[in-house]
Amino acid sequence: MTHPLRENLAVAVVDGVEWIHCGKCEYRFCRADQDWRRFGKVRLLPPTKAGGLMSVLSGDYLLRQICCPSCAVLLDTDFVEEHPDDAGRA
Amino acid sequence: MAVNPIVSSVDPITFEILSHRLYQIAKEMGTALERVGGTVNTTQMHDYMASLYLANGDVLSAGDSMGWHVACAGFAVKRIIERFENSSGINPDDIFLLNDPYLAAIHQSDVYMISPIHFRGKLMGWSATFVHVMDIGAMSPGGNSPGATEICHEGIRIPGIKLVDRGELRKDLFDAFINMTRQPVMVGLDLKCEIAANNVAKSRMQALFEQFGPELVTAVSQEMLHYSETILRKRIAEIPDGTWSDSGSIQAGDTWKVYVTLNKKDDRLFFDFTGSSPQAKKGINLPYHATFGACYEAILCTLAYDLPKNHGALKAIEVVAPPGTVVNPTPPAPVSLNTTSGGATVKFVANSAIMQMLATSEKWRGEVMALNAGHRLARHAGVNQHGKYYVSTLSEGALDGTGGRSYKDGDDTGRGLSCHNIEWLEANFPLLYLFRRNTKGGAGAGKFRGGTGGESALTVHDAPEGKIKGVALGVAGLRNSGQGMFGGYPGAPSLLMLTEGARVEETIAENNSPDQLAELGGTSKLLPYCEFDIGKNDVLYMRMSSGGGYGDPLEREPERVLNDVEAGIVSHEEAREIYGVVIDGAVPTLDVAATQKLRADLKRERLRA
Repeated sequence: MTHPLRENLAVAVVDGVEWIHCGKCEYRFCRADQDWRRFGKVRLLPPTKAGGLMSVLSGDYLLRQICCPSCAVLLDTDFVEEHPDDAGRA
Repeated sequence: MAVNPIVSSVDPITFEILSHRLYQIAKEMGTALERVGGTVNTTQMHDYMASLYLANGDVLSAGDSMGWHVACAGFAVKRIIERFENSSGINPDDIFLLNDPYLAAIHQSDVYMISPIHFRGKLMGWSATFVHVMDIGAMSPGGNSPGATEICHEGIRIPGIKLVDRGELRKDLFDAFINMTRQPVMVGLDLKCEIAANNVAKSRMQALFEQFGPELVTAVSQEMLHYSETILRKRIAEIPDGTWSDSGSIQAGDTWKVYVTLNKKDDRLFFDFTGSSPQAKKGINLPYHATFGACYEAILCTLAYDLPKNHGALKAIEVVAPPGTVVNPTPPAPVSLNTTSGGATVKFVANSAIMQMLATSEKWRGEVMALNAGHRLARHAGVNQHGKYYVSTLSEGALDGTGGRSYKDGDDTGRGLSCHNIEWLEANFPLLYLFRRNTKGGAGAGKFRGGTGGESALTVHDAPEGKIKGVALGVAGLRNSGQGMFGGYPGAPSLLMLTEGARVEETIAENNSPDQLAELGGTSKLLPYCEFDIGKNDVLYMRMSSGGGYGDPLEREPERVLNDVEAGIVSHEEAREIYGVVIDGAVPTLDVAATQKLRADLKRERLRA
């Protein structure tokens, strides 16, 4: 039994256990009760990698991308605080 | 003939006719607001609400109004019932006024008018409206007061007065109210358009009772609530149970956080804002009823977009917001800035949780879209070219780009409210637009990109005092932008920027168009929540947020990227680096083979990180 979790991620039951896997290549990330982001490939980039108008965020934020470690499809893109004390979006 | 399986006590044709009639009455109330009103907020921005309510204050039928105000006005009706039913009474042709944010309004500028609807002497229901009045006697012109540290700084606060008593306007109260504002004539017009809209509702409802009988109208009303509740609960039940969360931050000098956890169990939704920051001594706080209304609006826009908007849709949701926090403040916390701060953030996190939930449903995942986390605009006030003091709004916030969806790009401009007409503005106020256009290079990348958003610039022109005052509204940086969804990139953040001493008149005198800010010189600064002065040769630049993208940009059809390059929305460089699309030539041409190779290279680069 399978149901989607989000674009390019799905939840499938294998031997009675729910697993999160890539919707493109079926790479198995983790069990459904775990945070799949911790099992993805993460990279941090300058904000301007999202476009020149993002320069106002330089120095405060980094562009964080999380992709499938197997097929590299991009699953999540967000800005995270460059300084860990900031109370930004989790 | 299709039989409605949910509606049992009324024949389906009568149900359809009367339920649509009730919807049309609410819409006609909105039309009355626009035709009688005179301010930009009401006539062009559509910053108003008009709805019908049951005798107990439950929502019966909302027109095309903002959902959170529909819910808040329901609170307002209940507060009026509590205050007046055992004192001076609720009589035919009464109209009550309420704008207390600690009872029902979102902030004091949102003035609710509430009118009982009687038929043959019996209270049958209520109508309610709000308009965002042009001034409310607060510290800052226009009401939104960046300097306020408590609600008493934010203008008139009325817990409920009977403004019209058995059909007679109480002119003593009316004059007292409008004379506490900076613009009595226009605020008076604001109040009168609300009275007119409520009179339209009463007239139409009484005609409906006369034509069909109160028993049948009441039966249809109850069936409408039952219909919306039943369908909504069925839809919720189709989605897998689960828990989703998100957080947002409000950056306005200090930073405050809003957390939400959405729990979906069977046919119910439970929003919990526990953990959100303590309330602020700045007007970013959002009263509980508005937090509740924002969650209601999130449901209306997704799972219930095609259902009659009424109290039935409220019954499936529960909202917990701890007292003393930015999402449920207690007096004397100020609130006047909340629609562009706490409100925008609560709407964003509530909608984000909903979107995450919908994405887990094979049936509903197509409704998912990337969301916008902010809202920005400005007020302006001073003496106009006709020698009169005024207060008004720059409603550029309507130029926000919307987010990409699971099947299409976002709209380039057109989020929520509407934007004012430039020629109208220049004819009435001492301002001159240098440009208003779509922003280039801001749209969040994705399989489906976000909307571009819009940008405007204006200067002061023909101002008798040489300058006017502005009030800048909107939280800082990233928190005022479209957010990416499922790999899609965030859109460019909105900003307000004031450039002083620019070469505006000189450029125009040289017969050149002053539409390139970089060529105008001057000294620029970003405007947080603040009051500011703008004079001759100063330029106010307003860039609204671009929409976030949906999905992996490397999955975007190359032809769509080519179209974006041709339209100037995406540069050649961004096409290569973000989308992995190679476009060559003086006439932009797609290089298919090079694109395939570049996309493969970019994927390998992701894995090397």
